[in-house]
Amino acid sequence: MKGDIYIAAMLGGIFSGLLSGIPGFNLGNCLCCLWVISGGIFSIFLYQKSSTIKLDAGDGFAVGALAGVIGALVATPLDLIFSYWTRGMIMKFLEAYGGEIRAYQNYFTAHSFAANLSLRLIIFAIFSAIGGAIGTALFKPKADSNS
Amino acid sequence: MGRKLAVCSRCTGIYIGSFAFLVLYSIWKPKLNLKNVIIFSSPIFFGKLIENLLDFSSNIERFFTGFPFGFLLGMGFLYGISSLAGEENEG
Repeated sequence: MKGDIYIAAMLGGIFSGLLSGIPGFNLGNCLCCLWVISGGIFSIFLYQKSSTIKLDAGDGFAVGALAGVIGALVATPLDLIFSYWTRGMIMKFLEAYGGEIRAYQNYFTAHSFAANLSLRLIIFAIFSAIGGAIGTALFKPKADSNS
Repeated sequence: MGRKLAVCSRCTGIYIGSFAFLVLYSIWKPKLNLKNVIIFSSPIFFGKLIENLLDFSSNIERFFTGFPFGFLLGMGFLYGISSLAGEENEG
């Protein structure tokens, strides 16, 4: 049972991490961390789909939090990679419109990465945990689906 | 008045809704079930839908559609934490 929970949390985390890290898709998080909450709900969906055990809100909260941590670990490097890839375009934009170039350049330092990762770990864990708790109200296990 | 907030008006509604739920919880204890998930999340869904379809949007509309969703997030947070704490105490 525990193994399944970890797999579900990992898949939910990868789901939220990919959508939160890819430019364009990550705008969904502007709507109250949509992908992060969805990652927690998705992990519960995956677990309940293959299990006959009903998770309560606390279990969902814990699984969602784990999914959030994995999501943050996926999203942060992905975001950095895409930002580094598009930095030339963004620098031109900042130069043209008088943006803070130095602040943007600092984004690629190790300190900034660590701060970004720490902040995401906290926010993703909280919102994904809430998503997990909500997910337990939405999905029932296979055998329990008729009750 | 006239000052910018750190988050958008919808998120302000969500955060205030979450805190309001935590305050109201002592006198009002709704269940975390499918019916309540639909009730509390539908305003934000339909609000966004109307924004896109009718090209209409205002800060007041965003705030009041975010507020009930904040209740749902507050519920998820509180019930999740209390359920976890209950398990720990039982064990």
